[in-house]
Parts: sequence; C-alpha cells; structure tokens
Amino acid sequence: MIAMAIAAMEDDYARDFMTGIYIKYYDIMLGKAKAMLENEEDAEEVIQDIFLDLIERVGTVMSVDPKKLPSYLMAAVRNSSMSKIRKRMVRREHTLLIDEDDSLEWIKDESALPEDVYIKNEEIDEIAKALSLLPENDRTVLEDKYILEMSDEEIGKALGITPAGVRTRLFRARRKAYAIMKEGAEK
Amino acid sequence: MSVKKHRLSNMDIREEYEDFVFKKVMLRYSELESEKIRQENSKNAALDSETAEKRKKEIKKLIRRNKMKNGLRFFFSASKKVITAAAMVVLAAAVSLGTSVVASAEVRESIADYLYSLNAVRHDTHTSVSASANKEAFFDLESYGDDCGFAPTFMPEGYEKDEELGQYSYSNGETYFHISQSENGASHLDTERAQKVEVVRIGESKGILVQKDEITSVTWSCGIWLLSVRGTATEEDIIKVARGLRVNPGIEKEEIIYDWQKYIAFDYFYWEDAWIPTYMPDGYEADYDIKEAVEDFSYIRTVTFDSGTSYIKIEERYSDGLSGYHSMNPIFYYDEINEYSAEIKTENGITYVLFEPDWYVMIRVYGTAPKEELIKVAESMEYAPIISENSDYDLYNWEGAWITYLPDWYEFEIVDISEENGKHSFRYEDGKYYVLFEQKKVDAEPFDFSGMDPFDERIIDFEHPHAGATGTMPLTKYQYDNGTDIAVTYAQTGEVLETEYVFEDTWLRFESNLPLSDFQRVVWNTERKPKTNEFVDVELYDWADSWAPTYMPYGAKLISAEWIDGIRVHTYELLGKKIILKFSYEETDFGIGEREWEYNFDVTISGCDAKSCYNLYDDFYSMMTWSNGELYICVEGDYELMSMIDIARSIRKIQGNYPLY
Repeated sequence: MIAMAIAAMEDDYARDFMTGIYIKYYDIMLGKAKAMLENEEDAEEVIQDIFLDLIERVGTVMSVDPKKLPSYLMAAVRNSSMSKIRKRMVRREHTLLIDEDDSLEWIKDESALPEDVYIKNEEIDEIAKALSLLPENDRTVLEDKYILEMSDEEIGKALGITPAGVRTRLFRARRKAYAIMKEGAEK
Repeated sequence: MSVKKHRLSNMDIREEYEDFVFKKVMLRYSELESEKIRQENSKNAALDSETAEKRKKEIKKLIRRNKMKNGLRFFFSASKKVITAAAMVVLAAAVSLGTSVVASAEVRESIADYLYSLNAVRHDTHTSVSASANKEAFFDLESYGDDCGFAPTFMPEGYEKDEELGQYSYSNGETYFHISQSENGASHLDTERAQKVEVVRIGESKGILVQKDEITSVTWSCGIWLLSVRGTATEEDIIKVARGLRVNPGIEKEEIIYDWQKYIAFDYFYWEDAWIPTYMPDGYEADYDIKEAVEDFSYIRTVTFDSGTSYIKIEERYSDGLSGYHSMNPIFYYDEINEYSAEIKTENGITYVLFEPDWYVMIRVYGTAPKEELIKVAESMEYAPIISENSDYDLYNWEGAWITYLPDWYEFEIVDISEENGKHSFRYEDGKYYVLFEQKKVDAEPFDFSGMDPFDERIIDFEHPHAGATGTMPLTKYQYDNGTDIAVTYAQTGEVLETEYVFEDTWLRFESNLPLSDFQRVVWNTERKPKTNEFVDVELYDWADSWAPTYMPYGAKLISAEWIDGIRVHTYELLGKKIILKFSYEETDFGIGEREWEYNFDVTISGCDAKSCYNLYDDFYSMMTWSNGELYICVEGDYELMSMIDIARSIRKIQGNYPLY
C-alpha cells in the first residue's frame, strides 16, 4: 500500500525523496510503533497512515532539515501511536490515558521550575538529553509542538484533549524535563 | 480557580520564555535523536540491504506499471522512415496500449530531438542502439542504475555520497545537494518569495535557477529528461554539478542488441511484440500448430513444445490493458519472474507460471514438464520486437495518399479497390478478418460531428492516433492546434470496430472485425505516403544560392514570394493558417525581439541554436530564427508548432541554384 502510494506520486523528486524515507526508515518506524502499541496490525496501520500523510504533505516534509528528519519521523510515529492508544482506550471504555484537566490551576503548585530561574545556554544540551527520559506522553506533546510544529488545536485533536489541555501538558512536560535534567546534574 | 490571561502577565511572559527555550532544546534534541536513529539504522543496514533493494524494486515496478497504465503519453507525427528503431519500440508500446497522447509542444519537440539523436540501426540479425560517453569521468556511477539517464562528472571538493539524505544525494557534512531526473516528467518550481530566480545555461539547454531560503535549485530539460540539482551547496557548485551531468554510459554506451539467432524457435514467435524463450530443456520441440484465440479483445497465441512424454506451452496474451489482466484473474501475485509479479502454482500435475512483463502482455508458461524447468523457461523469456512494414505502397498511387498498415501475422489480400467522388476505398480480407480503409480529401471542411451521440456505449475510446492530442467527447468539437477538427472514435458495433477522423486535409475511416489491439495497430500505423519530390518548390529558391525547405505539410499553398526590405519572404497557407519563411544575408532577428511572447523554447535546427518563441493562448503563433553561417533564416506562423519545427529542420543546402547577388 505504501509502495503503491509512493509510486503514484507524480513529482519524481518528491517520489525519490519518499522512496528514500520508505527504504531507510520504514522498519525503524514500524519497530517503534509496535513497541508502543504492542500490536502488529495496529502498528502497520499507523505507519501506513503516517506515510500517506507524509506523501500528502511532502512539500513540508522535504523542507525539514535532513539532519533532523529521522527525529521528525519518529515524532510522527509517537504522535500517531499515542493517538491510536487513546482511541483504543476510549473504545474499550477504560479510563482515558490522558487526563482531561484543562485548568492551569495546578501550575501554581508546581515548583520544579521557579519563576526566577532562567535556563542557561549550556543547560540546553542537558535538557535535550533529559528529554529521552521523559514519559512517552510528555515527550509526544513536546515533539508535536516543536518538531512537527502542530498547532494546539491539532495536538489536542490527536491526543483527545482541548487546546487549553495541550498548554497544560506542555507546561508540565517542560517542567518535568527541567526537573530530570536537574536531578541528573545533582547526581 | 482559573488564571486570567493578561497581555503582559508574568505567566504569559514566563510561557513565552519557556517556549523560546524549548524551541532550542527541541532542536538540539532532534539532532541527538536523529543521530541515534541513524546509528541504529546503520547497524541494521547490512542485514536490511536486501529488504531495501526489494522495496526499491517494488516501487520501481509500480512506477513502471503506473507509467504503462497512464499510457506512454506522447506521440509525435514523423515519418516512419525517420523514426529510429528504438523509437519504434516506444511507439509499438503506445499502439498496443491504445493510448494516445497528451504532450505539450515543447515536450513533443524535446522527444523528437531525443529520438532524432538516437542512433539505432536495424541489421538482419539484430538491432543496435549506441551512444558514446567517457565512463571514467563519472562519479559514483554504480548509483545510477538502469532507470537513470544522467550521472555526475563533476563533484565539488569534499562532497561524498550521502545515502542518509537520499539515493542521489551528496554532502560534505555541512551542506548537501540532490540530483533528480525524470523521464517526460514535470516539476514544480517554488519561486514564491524566492531570493533569486534566473535563467542559466546548462549545456545546450536553458535552466531555471531558484534560490529560496538556504536552498538553491537548477531545473532544466535535456531531451525527454527533466533534470534538477537542488540543495544547500553553493550556487556555483550546484551549477557546476548541473553542467557536469552526462548521459550515463551504463545505459547508452553499450549496444542494445536484439540477437534474433539466440532465441529458441524464433520462427514460431513471428508476431510483432513477441516475447521469445531463450532457454528450452533438451528434447523439447516446437509444434507448428500455433493456437490462436481472441477473448475480450485480447489476442492469445500459444506455442507448444513437446518432448514426447511431457509438454511446455507458452501462451502470450496481448490485450489493450486491463481487460486481459482481469480476465485471467490473478489479481494478487506472490511470486516473481525476473522482477515481474508472477503467480506459480501446480494443479493436477500441471504447473502454471504466469507473469506480466508489461502492462499489455501476459505470459503463461505451463505444462507437465518439471516445475524448475518451467520457471527457467519463463525466466528466459525476452522481448524481441519485430517491426512490420506495409508493402502496399503501389496501390496508393496519388500524391498525399495515406497508406494503411496491416500486421504481417495476418495474410491479408486486397479484394476491392474503388474510387467514388474522390473517396478511395480499400478492402482487405484474410478469410477470417477484414479491414476496410477509406480516405477522402476534404479541403479543410470540418468533420461533421452532429450525428454522433456522446453517450453511445459503442464508443470505446476517445483517443486520436495522429494528432498527438487527446480527443474529446464527439459532440464537443476538439480543435487541434493547426486548426483541424478531429473526430475520434473507436466505435464498436457487435464484432465490428470503426473509427473515423479528419487529419490535416484528409478524412480517414477504418472498419474491421480484428481484435481491438490489432485494430489499433492498423489505425496508429497508418501513415502519409512520403512525397515523391524531395524538394519543395525548388524554383522558388533560385534567388538564394543554397538553402530551401525540403518539407512542407500537404496542402500548403504558396500565397506570395516577395522581397520586403531586403528580406526574401515566402508565405504559404494551409487550413487558414500561415507558414512564413524568411531569408536574409544581412544580420537580423526578423523582429522576434520586438514581440511579446508567452513562451521561449530551445530548439536546435541543423545544428544551430535557434531563438524560438511561441504563443499558446493568444494567437498560437510561433517564430524561430537562426543563422546557418551563410544566411539568417526565420520560420514563423500560426500553423502547428511541431510541423513548423519540421519545416525549419528540413531547410537544406540544395544544388543548382543561383547566388542572390
């Protein structure tokens, strides 16, 4: 299906580009989706959807800095997998994986990132490394926002929360990352 | 309690600050993550190279199929004598597909250029196509496989192939570029808010250079290829790489040889477009009784090889595309024969190997021979086109006649010739099939579409074989760009197929009970009889010492031949359109620069670069000017562009004329 969709692309340059992605990253993307979804069929479906979406937005994808392309793709996998998990949870009438707390009230109690603390340039590298230790949920929302450059509305739709909820999650994710970085530094 | 948003609240400022910081964090994260993924990928690279290759092939195959499905979307009118053998293969494919052609004049012109440039020679035992190139000058040639026409001969210092970035990508660690090429392709140039858009010369072509943000791209066409080099490398390097692209010797240097003698039982596979086995197990002999059948407009031919104890049958089904595919019902293939999708199964002691080497032919090798042998035979099948020619030239003994083509695997004989009110009719029969071919000069009278019902189910195709353009619904008149009205139909009446149309000054009609694919061959290969006089109106060119056109479209009438301001001007008219030839010893651009043009295009005429422009939407006017070293020449007018190019290209030095002064 993916190969057919790529082959049907009219622009040769774009088709070459997508062929490259398919050849190089399909397996690793599928592996990631499988690990997240614990279901091969769902994982294949997610990857297929991602490729169809990438083909549709190939102009944007081609403008991604090639050095950052792999992480862009993985962010897309995480995003779609999370979305799938959410749908699955809703379908099974289980508790939502994502909490629905839209208020920003809790921020007041968060003290991980005091307001008078400013992040130094050298800490950026450390926080970036700390991100890989973040729970999948938090990382996904950061990736959606900053790598896939999705709007709050789009992220909300994918994760099944409101745009305000997205902002909340972003706050929390950023602070968690900072906390992990600090924890690591203290150790 | 909710937090109210104020324009400059601490919370907002804080959020903006974090947002800013995290943009940087995520950029860095992205780089680290990508590096990790790359490393992970490279570990698996060796294991997965086979899978990667398989995927590449799968996509290539699908692309090829898509291309076939969409038809070879071009056709150009040129004499069969001029078209090379390689071109004939292409045309044969187009014929069999029954698809016509949508191509811009430029594309057709470049295709024509390409085909003219091919050097194909048909020998008694083989056909060869050759070109030369210096293999040693190429970089990274192994990356440019069979599907690539061009490979780089210049590589900026420090750049190396970078597969991370794509198949034809190179980088020096910091900047990169990518080479892309497509056959008969199209490209989208994003010039919106570009910093720079310029025309640059790439070899004999003009390319468009676009600089937008960090990306520089150069896009140009060369023959049927659309090429582009694009990336963050410097403009200078990108242009140099572009200028250094050369025809991949891997494709064209070696001779492509159809070696007729190597095929097993060549004589049995006598039809055009035949696929022929090059392997047959010992002891199997071909049976002369070749089975022929027609199903769903497909022609099926079966050749049987027998060893006395077991047999191998080779069945080839030629169809007009989908019908054959579906009627055999192997919609899902799980096996492969020479990269082609295939189905291999054994039932009741008979093994079937079914594969589709092309969109319009299916081959089934089956029999009671061992399965391995049947697969070997299937794998040995090769395409060996036979180019048929019509030998009825003598029957069409008037100037401007169209001569029909009859596939030589039938034994057609002429049974009736008649002429009434200028309408010539020829009826051919071979005992089972017949072909009725009629033609009449119509003096530019448009074809009458009024009796045709666009919803008539008998109409099964709207393609037109000669115009190089797709037709349209019969009630909506399609006007071809030389002003000719065209009717297009392959209308089916029971077992009978008909088509009629007007091309240039002639109405043509075909009627036959042949299978559709062969009927299409007949129609597509019908051609205008070459004009007996090689030179056109030689006496008109007595004023010049050497140069005259040797081709002029049929029906073109000379309106005037006069001197205007020291320029010799010959004006012809055809179907209400003008063809004007101008000659001058004095340097002049014949006013081409003073007009506003919709398009400029590159065309080589007699080895010279001509300045060439045309309008497509305004008045369909074209103009080409060039100098052959002796004269300044201009061909202009509102006649069909391809013909104008043909006229320009036909201008030759002729003997026996007198100098101008």
